[in-house]
Amino acid sequence: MSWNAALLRHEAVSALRGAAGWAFAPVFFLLFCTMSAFAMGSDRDFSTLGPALIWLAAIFSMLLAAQSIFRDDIENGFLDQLMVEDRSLAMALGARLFARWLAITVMLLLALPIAAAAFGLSWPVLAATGISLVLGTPGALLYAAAGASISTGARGAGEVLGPLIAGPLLTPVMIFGVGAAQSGAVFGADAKALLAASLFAAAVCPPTCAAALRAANS
Amino acid sequence: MHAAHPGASTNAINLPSYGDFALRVEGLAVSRGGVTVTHGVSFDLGPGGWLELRGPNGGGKTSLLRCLAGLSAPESGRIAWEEPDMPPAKSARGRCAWLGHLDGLQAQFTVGETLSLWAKAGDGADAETAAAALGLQRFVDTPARRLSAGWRRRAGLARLIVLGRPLWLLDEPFANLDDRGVGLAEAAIAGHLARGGAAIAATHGAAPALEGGRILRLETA
Repeated sequence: MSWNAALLRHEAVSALRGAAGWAFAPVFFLLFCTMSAFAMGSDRDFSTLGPALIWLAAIFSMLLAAQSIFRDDIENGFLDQLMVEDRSLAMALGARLFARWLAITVMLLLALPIAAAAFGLSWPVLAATGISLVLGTPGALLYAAAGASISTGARGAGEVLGPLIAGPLLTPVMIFGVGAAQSGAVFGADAKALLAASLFAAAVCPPTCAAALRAANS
Repeated sequence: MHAAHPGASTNAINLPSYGDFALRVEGLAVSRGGVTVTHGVSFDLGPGGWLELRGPNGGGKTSLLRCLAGLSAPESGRIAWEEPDMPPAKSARGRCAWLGHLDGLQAQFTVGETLSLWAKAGDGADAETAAAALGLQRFVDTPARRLSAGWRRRAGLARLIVLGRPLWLLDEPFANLDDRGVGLAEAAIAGHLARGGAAIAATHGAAPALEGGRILRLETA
């Protein structure tokens, strides 16, 4: 097994064993959705509001998950050891991001029918929302992780800066996400834009995280 | 695998010698947080070389090691890592095994899993042999979070053996170790030097009398 394959497997195991480190993201998602349905009253029409609230919950749960995604490995010295290797740090961080995204998204999709029931969403809207989450959450987590990594260098104020840096990048993802979910279309224009945002983030964010963490560590 | 005992552990690991290499450091000044902590550091190190860095707390031992590993850039001066048929590199990055003051163990992974992962990155001994060299056989299936500081240090040292890199950079390698642990760590370093490796360690003077050892006292800036 090659190094990259071994690392990917390692990260998958890490995501399963370290569920305590990310499980609050789907829990937050579920609570946010069900509580906002209660807060707004049951007589309201949620057919367009529901997908928007679901996407807000998804964006914020990804933002929360990203804040601490590399923290343990900075504190225990594992990241130093990766950086000393003559191998791609971006690849190693990408493996972590992919494993965490997969774990969180599976849980979000399991929670989604409950949220949809709370909002009384129709099947086509539920399906479109699910697909939009799969297409868009990679971008959301990646941009949020890039923001968190950049802020790691600014000790003290750092934790606050992460979401502020990621905010402007997350906004278009959220807009396209809401659009794709509300459209009820399986793969419409908004969904294509979401996919494009996630692909762009997949190319750009892991190297950004790597460069930012290296700079913060030097 | 026999129970490891001081003096025989890593020497018993049957691995070929490292190739030829040289680490040349010239007039290095090192800073931490923008403040120069030491300057005028010069030395050459080759196969079998053992260099102890001495200096007061905050004297730049760790910062110097980080520069050598390529984790940070020196303020001024020159680092060259030379190997035959390779262009010289500006640090030992990729050719060194790093043991910082943090052990680098992830809490949820066992000693065996950690060593097996790093064995994929290097070409040193296998995980079992390395664990035995530090007397860790009992703890192979123990997650790092349940190890004491001394056992974590031993696992950190065992990781060096699976990586199989010619240069070991060690920040207080004997911290938290009991007498037996120090003996095993010394034996591991001696075995590494015997294979034609080199090691640089920041210590406070309690280090073993390893053959061919030199001491470098860092000047405070």
